[in-house]
Amino acid sequence: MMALIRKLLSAMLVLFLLLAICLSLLRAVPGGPFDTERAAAPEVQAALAARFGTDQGYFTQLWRYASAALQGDLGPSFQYTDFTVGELIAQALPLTLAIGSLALLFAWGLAVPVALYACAKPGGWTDRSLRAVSSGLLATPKFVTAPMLALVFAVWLGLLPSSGLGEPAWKYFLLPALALALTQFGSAARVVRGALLDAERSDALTAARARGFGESRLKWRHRLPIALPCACAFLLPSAVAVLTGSAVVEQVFALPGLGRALLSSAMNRDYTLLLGVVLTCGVIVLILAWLVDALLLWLDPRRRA
Amino acid sequence: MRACVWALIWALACFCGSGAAFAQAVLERGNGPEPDSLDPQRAQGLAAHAILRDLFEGLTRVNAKGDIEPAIATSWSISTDGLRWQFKLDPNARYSDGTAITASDFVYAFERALNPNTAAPYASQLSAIRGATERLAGKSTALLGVAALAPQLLQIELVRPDATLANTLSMPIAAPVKRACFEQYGDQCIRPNRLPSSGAYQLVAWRPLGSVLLRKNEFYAGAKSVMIEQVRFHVTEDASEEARRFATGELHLTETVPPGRLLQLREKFGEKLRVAPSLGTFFLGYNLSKAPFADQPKLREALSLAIDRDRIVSTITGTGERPAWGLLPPELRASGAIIAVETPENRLKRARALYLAAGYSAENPLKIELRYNTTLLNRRLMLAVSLMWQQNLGLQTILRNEDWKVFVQNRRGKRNTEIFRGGWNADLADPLNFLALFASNSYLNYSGYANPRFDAQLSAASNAPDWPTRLAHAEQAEAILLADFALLPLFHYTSKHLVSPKLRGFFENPLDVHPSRTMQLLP
Repeated sequence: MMALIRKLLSAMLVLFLLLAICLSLLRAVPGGPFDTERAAAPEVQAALAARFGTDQGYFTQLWRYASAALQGDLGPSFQYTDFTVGELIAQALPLTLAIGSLALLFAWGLAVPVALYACAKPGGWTDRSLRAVSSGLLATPKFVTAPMLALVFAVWLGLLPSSGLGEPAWKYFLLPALALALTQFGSAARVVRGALLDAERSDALTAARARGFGESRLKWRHRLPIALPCACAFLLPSAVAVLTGSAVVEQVFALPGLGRALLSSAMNRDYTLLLGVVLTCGVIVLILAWLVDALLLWLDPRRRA
Repeated sequence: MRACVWALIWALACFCGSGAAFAQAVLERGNGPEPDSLDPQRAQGLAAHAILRDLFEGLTRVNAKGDIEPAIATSWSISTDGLRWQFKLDPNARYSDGTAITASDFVYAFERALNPNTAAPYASQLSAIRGATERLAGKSTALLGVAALAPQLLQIELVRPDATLANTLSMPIAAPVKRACFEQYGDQCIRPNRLPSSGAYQLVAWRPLGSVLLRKNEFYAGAKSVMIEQVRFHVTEDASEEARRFATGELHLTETVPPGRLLQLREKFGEKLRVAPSLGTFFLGYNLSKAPFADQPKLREALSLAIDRDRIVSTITGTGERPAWGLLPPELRASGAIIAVETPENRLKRARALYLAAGYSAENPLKIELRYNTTLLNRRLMLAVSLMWQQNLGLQTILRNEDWKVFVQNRRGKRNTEIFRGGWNADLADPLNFLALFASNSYLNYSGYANPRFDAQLSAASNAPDWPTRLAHAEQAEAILLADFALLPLFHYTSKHLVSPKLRGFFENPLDVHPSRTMQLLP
């Protein structure tokens, strides 16, 4: 129980520091939320500043924002004034989570079997091909792969919509998820491959082989369980990369997700929306870290000691 | 395994699905950035106004050809001194929830627009109304000039004659809003299926940063003539992405087209490409509050003469823009003509002479900073301008491209800026909409220009009882502005859209306003 409370307190401290740093960076950046092409009249500017609290000092703003956020109130958006930040995030988050989950599923669902197959003959044709393909995918930025996928599957082949969100939603998710998954497949395949090769050299596998088990049993019952904890440790950075990568992919595919909200809020100096998105991402990363820790404990009993 | 994957995809699709699937035809419109607000009194951006013109109608409205016509006001009378307007309202006018629209709704809307707490960006457009300035400044809580004389009779009193009042009343800020909704829900009144709208459509779904869906307002007085059942406005921040969606048939109408030459675009899109002159001017502004441009009209003239506008519109912008030698687009001049200029050779000769007379030469060149916000077109334009200055005068330009918000702040502050990217798109077909940018008391006067003669002409135009007098004074004001070389006009904008052959009833117009209510979508 104490450990859980300690974990929660440290998480809150991390989130508060994140908030404090972001707010100070936002205030340091030139240009304000109400600087527009058609500047409003001075009395309108003053009314806006009073309404959104931008005329207050840093510590007052931080304190007011943090205490309101603790009660679940992330304030009104400066840019999209008809919405609260909570409403904007509630609409955007499910989409980002859906595409991110799909991307991780594609990437890891493909990386594990492919790496297993390639490691059957280390240095063989399949293994070398896998390394070449994964290096290529890792080296290609998402702002290149995403428009290329749209060009091929939407414009040339006409199989899927090029961007936006409509019905049925899954059609609009496939290309963004694929764009995110490709890079993750590259890194996941390399990590799983490395973990499998390490497992090959482990004492446990040598012992299992000495006991005369067949290759299939060695692969599924011994090599994979040894390699999995190591590979799963990479799940967290992989998920974080998907979360941050969603900003580019959602922009290219015009998807109203969290990543697009982040970019839009940064460009528009929408302080409250940006802080809200950053806080949400911080909470997601913390939850993912706990989940991965729990998964590793389950996979590797030695860690429980 | 495969079944599991598809089951998961299906579950995710259901989880994230927004809105219901509609069987009826939907007009899919690209609309640029996310609308900043769909509150008619608070909205500022063009994207918001495009949607609001479908959602709300005021006393007057803009038709498909860009002309002003009666809307909820069936007729109006003006007193002989031009200071009292009485509007007869359509007794059949209804909000989308079925309740009647009365004169008191307009009174509430005007009071709300001019309440300083509303922070309405366009509130100053209503400044001709008696008591508006005092209410906006917080000096008065009553708006004296607007009164509901009867449920269907509205009176507006002005402090000065306003020849453009009918135009102003077509803007979303002057649209009626239902008091009961705002009193019950506050800002939360602006929600799908809650917002009572007075126009041809009502708000049924809004996915921020995604799309806004409107459905035909069955209570709209002209509902029978509205052909399209639903309109979806898509957020399309990137013109290339928007063109891609048009090419795949996902959009029927785009907000703009990707940068490119007119010929290439014509080759690619054929008759689907619709280009027309619009009421907008791209110019460079000088910071007149400090050296080197303060009190140096001859130097400013030299810089203006050294730029070949014809080359700029033919090789840099390339989509039908017209070279600009004045601030006002030709459509807003009484003569309708582009200002006559000298031959290119004479211009260049005079530019060099003026540059030398200002004390600069090849050995002692003028060094200036040219600031602009980062876009592909701006970068190309500024590079071309700086090259022309270098080749023709030997002037050295430092190009400073800045993030949009930084640029706007610097331009307004007048501290770092020497020459800056300027531009204006008209809210109304009114020359004062442009010229007011240079009034000495205007907060939009980023140059710091001040000339009492210009202000006097502006004031005379503003108080003119009729349109010809207003135009005449406006042209005189512009002449003073140009004689002072207070700005460096480059070109007049065009509107550019891709229009599906299935879409009928789209007409190019200078205001670039395209109401969905008059369009038709063929199967």
